[in-house]
Amino acid sequence: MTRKTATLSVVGLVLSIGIMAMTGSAAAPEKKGADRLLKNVQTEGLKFQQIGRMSFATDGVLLIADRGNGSIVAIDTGDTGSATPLKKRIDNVDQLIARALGTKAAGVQIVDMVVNRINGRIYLSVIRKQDGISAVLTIDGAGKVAAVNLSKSRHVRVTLPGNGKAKVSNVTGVKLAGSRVLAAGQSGREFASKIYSIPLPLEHGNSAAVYSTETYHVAHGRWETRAPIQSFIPVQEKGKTFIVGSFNCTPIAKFPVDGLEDGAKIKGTSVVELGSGNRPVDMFIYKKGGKSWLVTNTDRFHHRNKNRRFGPSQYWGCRVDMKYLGAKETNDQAARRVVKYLGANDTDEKASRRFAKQKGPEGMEVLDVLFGVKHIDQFANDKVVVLRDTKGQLSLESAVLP
Amino acid sequence: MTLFPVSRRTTAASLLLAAVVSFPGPTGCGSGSRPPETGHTTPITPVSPDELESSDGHFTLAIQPETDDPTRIVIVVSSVDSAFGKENSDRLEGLIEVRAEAPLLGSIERVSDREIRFAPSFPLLAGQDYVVRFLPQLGHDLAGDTLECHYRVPAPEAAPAPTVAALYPTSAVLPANHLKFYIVFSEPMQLGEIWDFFRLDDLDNNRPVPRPFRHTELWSRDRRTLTLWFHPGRVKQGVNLNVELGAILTEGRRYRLSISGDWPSARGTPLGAAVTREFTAGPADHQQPELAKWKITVPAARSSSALVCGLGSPHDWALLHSDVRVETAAGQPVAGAIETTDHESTWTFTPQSSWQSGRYRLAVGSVLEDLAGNSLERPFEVDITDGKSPGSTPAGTRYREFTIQP
Repeated sequence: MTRKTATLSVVGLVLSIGIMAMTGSAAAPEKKGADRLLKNVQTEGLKFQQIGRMSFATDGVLLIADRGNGSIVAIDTGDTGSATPLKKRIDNVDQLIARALGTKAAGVQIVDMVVNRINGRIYLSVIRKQDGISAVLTIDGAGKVAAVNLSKSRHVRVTLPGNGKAKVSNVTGVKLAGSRVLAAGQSGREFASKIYSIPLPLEHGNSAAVYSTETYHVAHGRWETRAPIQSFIPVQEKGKTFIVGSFNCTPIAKFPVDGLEDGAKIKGTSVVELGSGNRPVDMFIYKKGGKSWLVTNTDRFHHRNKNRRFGPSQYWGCRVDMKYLGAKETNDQAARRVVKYLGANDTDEKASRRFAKQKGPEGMEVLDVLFGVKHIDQFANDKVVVLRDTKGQLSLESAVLP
Repeated sequence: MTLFPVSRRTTAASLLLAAVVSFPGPTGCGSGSRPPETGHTTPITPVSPDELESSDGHFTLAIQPETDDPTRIVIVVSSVDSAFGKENSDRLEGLIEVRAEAPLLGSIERVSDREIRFAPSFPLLAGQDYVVRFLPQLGHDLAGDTLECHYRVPAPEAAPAPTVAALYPTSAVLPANHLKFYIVFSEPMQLGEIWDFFRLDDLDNNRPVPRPFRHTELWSRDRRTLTLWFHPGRVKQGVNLNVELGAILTEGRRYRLSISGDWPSARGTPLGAAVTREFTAGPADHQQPELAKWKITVPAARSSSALVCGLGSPHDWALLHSDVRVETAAGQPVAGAIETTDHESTWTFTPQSSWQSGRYRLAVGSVLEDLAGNSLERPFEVDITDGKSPGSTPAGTRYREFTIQP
């Protein structure tokens, strides 16, 4: 960040008080951390065609999917100093953002929300609909909105896939996984889903070492199909790397990704079913009470059907005991969240509590703290930040998981 | 990373990009002790160049649009003395603001003891009005009045509404396990949360089909072609959506796909009228396409006639353009133009130069699919319990040779 400050002084930009406090003013740059992850770093001209999902790697490096051209971008945010984590709820955050962009809430799409685990600063990827401008905004604990100056940011871009046949239309996720970055890509043409593995350091413009594997899913031990991965997290288990991912079609599955070669095919083992029509959005793992839990929030797309309501909001979340991820065989045995639909008029708090008390299999629990949560990210183990939709009103809140 | 600050002050929400944006108080520029509130209804008059500047004799506020891009402006405040000499960089925040409903994100810098500049972080929006202010009293010791100018970004010239230039597949009968549509627009459309613009009606039962679409936006890079997928979870056998809700299409029924006329282009102009396509669901298709069964009509040497390939059934329109090509026997690509006809069941290739006699080959990517997602490589669904069912074959390019006779 201090390096960035120096860059800024050259171009004459001025940082906010908060940022200056975060970074110091003229100290020597600390490039070491981020530059372990990045190579052939560019310092100008970053633009997104259609910004997508994000995640933080280490050392303040923010990984961002560019959905518009099938690439991933890594930005050295330099945001490794202190900040004020969110404590008090920020209401109407969509309006706050929209106004800062000169429009109204309906004119912006909040694509993703992540938290810098170093200091709790919240990052949002946003599209201004009227002109399609992509932006990365930050919000600090005091509700102060700022924009990341993409055009001056230190960054690298790697296009997927590496063989020049850039058919990837949507990068649905990008995550650091040990010594590499994994990205999930979907095609707008063939029905295919690929996981791309990009070795570190990420080198700008170099896709040569990128390899891809196709993901498959088997339903009822019988029907094998390609399976587009919607979101995923890398998981280490007994020294091996897996990804735990969700499909468009509901199940959460586990894929081995060690030792794969380019063009390989991997089959996912379904480990959890959340009920049809649920699309897991974000995932992470935390530990509490001697157990490891997988947390996910889901977008239930049956919600508009009043007879198939699943809770008071189309967004809800749960935690799953990681023991379920040890499942070795496919799919009929996948643990299934047992739920009863709420009635058409069960939209109040009492109904929420009743819904949350339903007993699924032991180790699969609905979390009422995640009702209405469109996006969730982990700040520190059980401390999270959520972007909550309450009857159309969006708020940012900090929360502690049970 | 560079962060642009924004002022903490906000005002009430108002219309988004209203055709007539309004401001109170003086149009053009002026000075006063406190900024007027926004939200009135007096239309602003377009500013002339001399209204892009305001001065109280001590400070001068000037708006400087880029010559060829009025959505990009820089605000310059100059002083007759060294008024900004004592202002640290981090104290400049809030001295200049550009606001629509609230102050916009932007960066401020001190150029010299006599000049500061503010640049919005993002382009301004076409057709929208902005208030530009210099606020010397806001937490600063600067002696001066508030200066204010108004700026309107010209609206783009009226242009015809966007249109749906093409919608594939074009066949009036689609398999009951049909997978996707390509919608080609005349210009880029507005992205994000687009799913309410689509609906599928079961015409035989006179009711909408609930939630038939996969909510993943997959656009071409020029943002003009959207791939609209039926939800694969309802097409795949054995997947819970298919089991609980059933398939999207039922063989024999008639359907109508509708695209709402409310959908605006990226420029903000709606389609205007709904675009619809009616079709009937035919039998489900679980057969893979077979390159060996294509009927190839070979043109004569020294002609520029088209090579015509009858595919036997409709295939994926986009993949027929991206993954089928003509090569020499040695693998050199032959330049030419591709067309699809007969509801994407005929592929034609017209060479740029006349055919020379000799051996050629069709090079077809194994990803080439029919309308139900069955590809040369594998069926959409593979029954792994049935040893007789076709399984997956290696990915890659398949070839079919043909000869241009002398």
